[in-house]
Amino acid sequence: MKILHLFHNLMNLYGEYANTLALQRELEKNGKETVIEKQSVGDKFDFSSADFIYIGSGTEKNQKVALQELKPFAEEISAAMDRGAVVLATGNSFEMFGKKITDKSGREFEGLGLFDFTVTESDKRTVTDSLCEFKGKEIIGFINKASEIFGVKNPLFTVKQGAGNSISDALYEGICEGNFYGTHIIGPILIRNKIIAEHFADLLDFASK
Amino acid sequence: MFFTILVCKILRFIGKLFHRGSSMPGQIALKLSPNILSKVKLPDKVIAVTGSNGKTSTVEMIAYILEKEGKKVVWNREGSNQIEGVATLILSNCTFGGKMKGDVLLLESDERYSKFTFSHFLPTHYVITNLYRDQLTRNGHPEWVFDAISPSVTDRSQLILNADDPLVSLFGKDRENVVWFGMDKQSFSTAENTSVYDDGAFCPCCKKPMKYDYRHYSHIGGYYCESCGHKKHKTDFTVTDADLESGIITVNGRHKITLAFKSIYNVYNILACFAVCSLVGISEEKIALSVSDYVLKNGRVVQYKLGNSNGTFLVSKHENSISYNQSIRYIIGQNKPCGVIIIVDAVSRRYSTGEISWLWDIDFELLNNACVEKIYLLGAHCEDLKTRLSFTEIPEEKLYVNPDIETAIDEIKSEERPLLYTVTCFSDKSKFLSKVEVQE
Repeated sequence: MKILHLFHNLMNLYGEYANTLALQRELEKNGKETVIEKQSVGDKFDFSSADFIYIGSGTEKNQKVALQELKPFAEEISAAMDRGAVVLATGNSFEMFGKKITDKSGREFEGLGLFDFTVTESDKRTVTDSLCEFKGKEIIGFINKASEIFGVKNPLFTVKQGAGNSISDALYEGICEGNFYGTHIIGPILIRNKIIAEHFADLLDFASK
Repeated sequence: MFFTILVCKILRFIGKLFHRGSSMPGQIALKLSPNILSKVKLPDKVIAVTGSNGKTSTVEMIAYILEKEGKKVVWNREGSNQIEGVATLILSNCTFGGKMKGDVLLLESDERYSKFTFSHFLPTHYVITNLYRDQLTRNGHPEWVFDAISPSVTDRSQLILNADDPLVSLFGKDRENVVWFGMDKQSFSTAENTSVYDDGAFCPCCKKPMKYDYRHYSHIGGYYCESCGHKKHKTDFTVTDADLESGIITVNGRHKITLAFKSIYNVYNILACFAVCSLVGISEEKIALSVSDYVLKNGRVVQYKLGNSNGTFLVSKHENSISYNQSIRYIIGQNKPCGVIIIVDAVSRRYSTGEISWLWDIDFELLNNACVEKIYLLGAHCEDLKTRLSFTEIPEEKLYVNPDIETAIDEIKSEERPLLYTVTCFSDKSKFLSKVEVQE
């Protein structure tokens, strides 16, 4: 198995790298040898051999850098998902996959356009402990963001406590479309919620058969 | 003004009788008279220190040296560093006519609140120590804090900046009136980043990959950006030589200072203090002499006895990986067989949160060292600590895990280890120190 950790040194806030370690441990427990490959600015991106692609949280500025770098590869990422690769983007990295991000000065950045949602950043941060539901089970973590996400059709979690994608969409958090998973919940989420690490391990197991 | 000052003084007096915090009187004074701080006549020298780490220690040392040289220094020794606490401090040291007593006003200023405090008056000397990942539950991330500090930075203050911190240095970009402090390359400096995360990988100015000639720790060192030219500035106050083993540093090539606490982080606090004191007119010889062997009184390092064990308590801020790294590096640096007690019970004393992602930013791998014989993980988050350490090479047999601090302390006592270190935060400090014999 190959976990591709994108922008490990750019989108690296909140100890998010540990999500890849948690998944690696889960996969190896199931007898699957797993390597974590890191690619970032300056590397030649290669999504073709990745089973799992992970991106973590970054500063608002770093997110724009990552977005610019990833722009030419939107189709390749799509293609990777079509052949079964799973993508998990946590924190503000999942915001890149929508239509557009408007920063706090009003400047607009075109997103990767894989999904229809839009993002508006502001100078207020939402910081809250988080309790959500995923497949009938409780998920814990924390949200630390300066943005609202609008127009998510298929959210990942039902919010029991904490914050949702936006104030007007406070009951739902994140996005789950096909093999794409996005959430603002940090923790790291796979460390603090074994059931999500297991969920991804099962998905990858299924995909490899 | 008379009335507001009177109210503030009375409230402060009553507050002191009941050992209450020092922010309430200022808060009420600011309600009564929102612009009072701009009307007060301040001393000629107003020194402010902000940044993520080292504020309290730096301010304490500056106060000590200036007072030793006969200056009357008014400073927030209780660390009430937001605008309310600053207002209490200033107003309770004012005449009823609104003139502040003292030669120097010395302020530790909360990095997120500096812009409010310094919208009323400006520091004459403004030190920014560093910008680290600190209390990200309220600070977001270092760039967010940079933006919060920015409005308080003007050409009308003498900026005193850490040249070794690429983000802090941005405050001095295109400004002339800046004094820079930093450390030359040392034998312990490394070519590469040695921590689990790297906040120096990209230029904070243009966001292109950044390079380093050397690093002292984390993203602190001699950096340069080939793309936009942002680089470590030539320093005016320089640690030219630092020997952390013998605990002697040399400033500006000629002033030797001996360290009471042999840690590189402490060296930066001393250097910032040295720069400020020199700029306000104290001779460098006198500063070096005064700060040598100075033992901080702010309770960040406490010696204790637990039964037959001798211990050192190192206050380390939760939610601040560099603060933890500082303690861990100190312990490893001593290189004596020891037990290390790590307590994470309440993440913060200000708010209740279960946010523990910061554990993953700490260099716990360093504890995988022969001198660390046992590691005690205590408090409500002991299992989270255990999980974190399970991703290091530290053998599981070395770990002791117990959520109950009190029973754990009894067990540690019965083991009679000659040397112990305790690493935890203010929020959990008394839970430990109340159970051991604190040495004065």
